[in-house]
Amino acid sequence: MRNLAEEHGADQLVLVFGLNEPGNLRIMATTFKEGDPGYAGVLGGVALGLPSYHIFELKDEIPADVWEQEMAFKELELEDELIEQICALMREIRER
Amino acid sequence: MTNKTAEAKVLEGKKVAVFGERDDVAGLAVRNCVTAAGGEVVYETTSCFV
Repeated sequence: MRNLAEEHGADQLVLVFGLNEPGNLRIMATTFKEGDPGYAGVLGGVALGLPSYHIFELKDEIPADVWEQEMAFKELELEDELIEQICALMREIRER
Repeated sequence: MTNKTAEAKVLEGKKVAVFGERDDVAGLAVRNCVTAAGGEVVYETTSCFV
């Protein structure tokens, strides 16, 4: 990810997640924005500043027919509360 | 359900790294959504956290 940020420019690079477990999302989104919170690995102490989104946050940008084909079933599978939790978590990490 | 973000047009014209999950939303499904919205996928992976 560090190489991608250097190649394309951190201001042009966006991360989009499809994983739904809030704990994993928090660690990954935090790491790509602020650096590895455990100060381990290549991103320890390296704040790339990359914004992370979950695909559920971006529904309004996806053409309806594509969303229906790729995402509608996954959306139905999840509790509304979990989707709201995921979206709130991603916003919180981006905005802090 | 709509989960509109405060930001407009996050994907259009942007380079996008996709992190899918095998049992949640796979990378390919996210890629197809991102591409349809005008983003360019420059990295894609599908992990399994089970």
